Amino acid sequence: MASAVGHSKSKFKDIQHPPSLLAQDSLLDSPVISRKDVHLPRQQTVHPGFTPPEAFVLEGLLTNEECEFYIKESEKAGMESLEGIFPKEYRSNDRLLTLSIPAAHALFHRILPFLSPIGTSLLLFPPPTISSFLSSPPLPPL
Amino acid sequence: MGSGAEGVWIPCGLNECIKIGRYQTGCHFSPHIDGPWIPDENCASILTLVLYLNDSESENFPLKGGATNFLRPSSFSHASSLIGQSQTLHEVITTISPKTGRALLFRHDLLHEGAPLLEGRKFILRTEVLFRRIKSALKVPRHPPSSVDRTEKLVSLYNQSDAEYEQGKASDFVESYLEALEIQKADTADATCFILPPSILLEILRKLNDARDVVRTMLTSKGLYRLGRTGELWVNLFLSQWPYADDLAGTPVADNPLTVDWFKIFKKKFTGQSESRRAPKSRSGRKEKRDWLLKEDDFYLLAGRRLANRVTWGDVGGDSARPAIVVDCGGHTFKVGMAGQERPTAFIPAVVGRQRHMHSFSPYSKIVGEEALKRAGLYSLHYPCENDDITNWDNAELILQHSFSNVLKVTTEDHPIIVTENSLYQVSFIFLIC
Repeated sequence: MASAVGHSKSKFKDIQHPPSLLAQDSLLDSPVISRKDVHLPRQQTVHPGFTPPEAFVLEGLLTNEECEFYIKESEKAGMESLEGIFPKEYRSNDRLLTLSIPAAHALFHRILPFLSPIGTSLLLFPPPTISSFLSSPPLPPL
Repeated sequence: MGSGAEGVWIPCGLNECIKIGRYQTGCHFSPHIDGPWIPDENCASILTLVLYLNDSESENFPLKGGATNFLRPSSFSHASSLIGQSQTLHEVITTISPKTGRALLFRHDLLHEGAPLLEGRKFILRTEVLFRRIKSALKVPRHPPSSVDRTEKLVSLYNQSDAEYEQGKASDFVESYLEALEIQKADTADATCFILPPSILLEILRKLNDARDVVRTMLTSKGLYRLGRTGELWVNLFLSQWPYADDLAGTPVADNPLTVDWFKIFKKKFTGQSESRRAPKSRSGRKEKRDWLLKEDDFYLLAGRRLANRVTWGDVGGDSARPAIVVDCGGHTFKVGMAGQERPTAFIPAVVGRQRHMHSFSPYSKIVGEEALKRAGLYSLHYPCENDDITNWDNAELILQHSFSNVLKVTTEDHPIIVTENSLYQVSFIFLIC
């Protein structure tokens, strides 16, 4: 929450991003990712035939090395305490803001196969996602 | 996402502002919902992406606790402030524990918390998934805004929250941000309105084997009209009507079959046939019977007249039934009116007001003319013209749209338009306003 509030350039720090993340140029380069739905009771009333996914988990979106890389980089760049910005009883953690279009792009391409359109007119006829094609059984022989 | 978020949204990217969070032992994030990031009218964040960078088995940074809990909103609380209310106990529905490389994606408006970290340090990377609204052949009905007051309150709360953030007032800023989020969430449209996607509608049109039914369907709305012009439909109708036709009414089908307007070909063949049938009947003096065929008149009655949507160069003033719209795009005011009147119908100040903050849609995210001047505190003002030349075409287009649809209440398809022209105008702009 409130992550988008008060962007001003000086708050952003430059950090290195994992080379393996930036270097990927196709889906084949990305690690093996699996999706699990998180089951939550519906908050909205929708058509019973289709419930759009509200939350899901992607296992292995970043490899262990990439995760470690991020931790080390962010420690090196230095975190900023949120104590002065948010009340302590509401939120108490340290944060680092960084702007990187290439990293966002590469991450997006890893999660894209698991996303589906959202909207009012697609509820009755949910379109197939790429992942549902991948997991669909092979066609019967002719 | 609040009022104004109707339509179909497809994923288009991640927010390039990447947040890396570090929770020390004992740190937490109280129950909350996330706020959307809305860079423009057709682009908004819908999902939150939380990526855990370490877990209990990490070699360098092991941790304990710090799971993300999804909570059931509880309506009962004694606390007066919203921050206080967030401290009350909620029932946990699901728990997602940190695991290296695991990403959690969920809708912004789900209530969740970051549970206190028991041991070690927790690192997360978080950003938002951005979606883009796609154009649909059908108009999406707008969810009516609950009220103007409410919307203005939402806008001013977000502005206030941004200002308090800049001043460093910690609790005030969160308080007004939370209040704005509450209003926005309450205004979110229920997903109970269903519209069939164009592909399904086309499938239905394909099932109709009477041309009259298709034409009637096309008349009901612009979206269906455009859909009904699909060439494939008319090829099939043509072939089912005249399976052995070899003349094709002398039309050039040769070069590229995709560029051929099959609707026109069908119409030509159809009306040509009906004329030849009409002649002997009218001679016999009997009143013409309406048989199953479409007459040429029917076509004009049903579809033909509505096709007129073209740029007319030259003399357009003579038609009193369809007077021309006269537009003068001035640097200070836009003057609009109908031809034949002594004075312009309206003088619209050349100002567009745009919403300052980027956290909500509102039906009034862009306002024009005097309305914008009145609400200069809530909106940032933009001017389409500089030194009497139009420099911002988007803003000029907004003012013209407003003047056609709200002030003159005319459709641009039905009237010619006369624009006072500057030699620097782009031709594309002239086509745009036609």
